[in-house]
Amino acid sequence: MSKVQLSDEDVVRLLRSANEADRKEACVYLYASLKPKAKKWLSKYGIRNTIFEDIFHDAFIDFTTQNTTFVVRRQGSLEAYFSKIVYAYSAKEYHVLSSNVPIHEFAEQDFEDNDSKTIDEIIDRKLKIQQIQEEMSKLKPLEINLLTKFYFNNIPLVDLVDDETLNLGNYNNAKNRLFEYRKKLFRLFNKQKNE
Amino acid sequence: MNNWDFTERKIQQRLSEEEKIHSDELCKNNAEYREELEKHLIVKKYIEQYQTINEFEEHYQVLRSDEIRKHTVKIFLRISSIAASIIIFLYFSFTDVYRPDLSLDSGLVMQLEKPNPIATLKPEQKKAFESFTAGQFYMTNGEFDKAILSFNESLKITEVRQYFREATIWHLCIAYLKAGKLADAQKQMDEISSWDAPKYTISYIDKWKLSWQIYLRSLFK
Repeated sequence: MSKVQLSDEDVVRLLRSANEADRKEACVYLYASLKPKAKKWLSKYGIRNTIFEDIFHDAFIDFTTQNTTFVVRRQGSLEAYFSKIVYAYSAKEYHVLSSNVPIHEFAEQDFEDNDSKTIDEIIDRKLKIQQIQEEMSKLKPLEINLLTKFYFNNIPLVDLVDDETLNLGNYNNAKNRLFEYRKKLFRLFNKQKNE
Repeated sequence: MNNWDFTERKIQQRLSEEEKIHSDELCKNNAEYREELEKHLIVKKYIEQYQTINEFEEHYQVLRSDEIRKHTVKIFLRISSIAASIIIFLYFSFTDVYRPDLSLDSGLVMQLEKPNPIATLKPEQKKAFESFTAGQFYMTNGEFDKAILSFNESLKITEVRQYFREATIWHLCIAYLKAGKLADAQKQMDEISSWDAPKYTISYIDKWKLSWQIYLRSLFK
């Protein structure tokens, strides 16, 4: 595990970097520095082993996938913000903390206001992550592959025609498939939103 | 969709500055273009979020697996060291102490560098040799008190080779231990430990084993 000390600004910069190696470095650093602390916070409340691993996993994915630039901008600490996420999941999602445990006792340094609105926002974010994973799992690998290459990797459709893994045939077929998959995904998310 | 190429480049952020302005104008004035573009951009956002989640999930799983692997190795090493400690403890505590072989040629008692079968033994030396072999016989039979007497008898004769004397003391020490006479065993052990250049070679492991067995039995006496 990484032993280099990184500032919060460095961590945020690495997490949002366009370079995957930087993002991985940030993950390694955060995992090594936050996990022992989270273990310490939660062990006070008797939360250990599997439940701790579940909470840490969810909090870690939430924390790393969101843009935490605002924490640094408001001169807050990433660690305190992470402790708030851990607290939110423990209390609301896993029901393992009594609701009367004050946040300031839980977080070593409080980040911002202590209102429950922030906690609810954290839970909403987790649900959103789950929703994205759930809806995407309804697509076939080939469909995800095409959508990813077009929308995420920004590869022009004309180049994707030559991609043998996609088996698109010709340009018109590629375009039709893209629109078809896009509609399918759009429908899935809209359906979820309306439910 | 009139100009798919233009829309595609907009989605993939490949428009020039001029084209970006044109796209903004189209969004304002062309509802069909705006709606279609919005649909693409929403899907793009979902795909980006999905990819980001997947990537960090992958990093997390690698880190977690690495942690589990290290933890497993740690547990394995801990169990192995406990098992090794138990085996070493049992070996040192309960296995017999080795008595290095020695040729039971009566010549080995004589005060010569090497046994010499031609030379004649003095009667005392002959007695020392007979007492020693009798002691060995009693040891084999588990008659340790008799063995102690025989070895002590043998040690009374001082005109013997150093090698023979040391072998007798080692056997006597073991006999004391087996007979439960731990103070006497310890006394012999102290003498064995004081030898600077012994002729009768006893390995360090056997010396440690004997010392440990004397100590262990004295704890439970």
